[in-house]
Amino acid sequence: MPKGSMFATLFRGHRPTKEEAEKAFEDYYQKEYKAGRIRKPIFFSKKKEEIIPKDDQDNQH
Amino acid sequence: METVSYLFTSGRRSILVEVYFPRRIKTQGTIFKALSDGLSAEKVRAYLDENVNNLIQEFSVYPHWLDPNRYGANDQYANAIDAAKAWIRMYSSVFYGWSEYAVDGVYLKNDGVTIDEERTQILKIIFTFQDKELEENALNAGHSEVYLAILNWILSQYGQAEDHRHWSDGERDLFLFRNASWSEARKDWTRDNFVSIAVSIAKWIDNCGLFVFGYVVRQFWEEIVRIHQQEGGNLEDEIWVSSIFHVDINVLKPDNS
Repeated sequence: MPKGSMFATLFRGHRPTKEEAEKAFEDYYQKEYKAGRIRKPIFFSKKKEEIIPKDDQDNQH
Repeated sequence: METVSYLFTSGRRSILVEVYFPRRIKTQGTIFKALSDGLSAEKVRAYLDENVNNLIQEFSVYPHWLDPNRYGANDQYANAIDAAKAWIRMYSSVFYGWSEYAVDGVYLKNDGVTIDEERTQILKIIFTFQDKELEENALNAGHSEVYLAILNWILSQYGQAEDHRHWSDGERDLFLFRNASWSEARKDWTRDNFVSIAVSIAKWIDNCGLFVFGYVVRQFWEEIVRIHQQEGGNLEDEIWVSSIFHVDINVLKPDNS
């Protein structure tokens, strides 16, 4: 992967790997969480039980 | 005899998109089917959902395009795939027709010497924003000009970094500052309505992007790849998409009242 941001990666015509793409999304959601715009960060691989308290699961969409 | 006039209506800032690719007989069926299916939001959603894993990989530089919480919602999702699928379910139709024409294209190849010439097919799509409920509210309040001014403002600001939120209070304050000479009544209405109108416009812009890159152009290049892999055809060096965010459309409609 070329050095630099994901934007630079695509700018140089490199297709991100699945892992790189997932990291980009997870970084984005982490940033949204830190900014207080979402209650929990969102990941790819973690199971629902690991990121959402059981009591809250009944309220899910 | 009844009097029929075609009445001028005020300009509406719109997005003009053109897709450039070589004209090939073999791809015409795919292109027509993708476009005609694209008139159905349900079919677009089904295609996007089916390709969600690829879209995540291809749009990794724009993760907000697949974030269902981007516009102020705070829902929780089991994982990022579920979140992307939720955003895809939110897709509402932005596409109501297209124009298509062909031109002769001449290009200097990457070697800087060889000239490539071919028949180039251009697909033209004009996306025009309309939110009937918000528009009706603005009309009833006597502020349709503000509604259109917000549309002009948002489209003129497009292209900021990902963090930029067109619907933020800060953007509203900038907009009001820009229009400081307005009456207090007009400014009050703007303070109350800017955010909801801006959110609707921003969602529409994202839907246009998802439709163009995640649906239409994607189906074109899938067909080019299929022909290349199965029939030995050439891959195209490049497919170009141009977007103009400052096209004003005036529609003239017949009135026979």
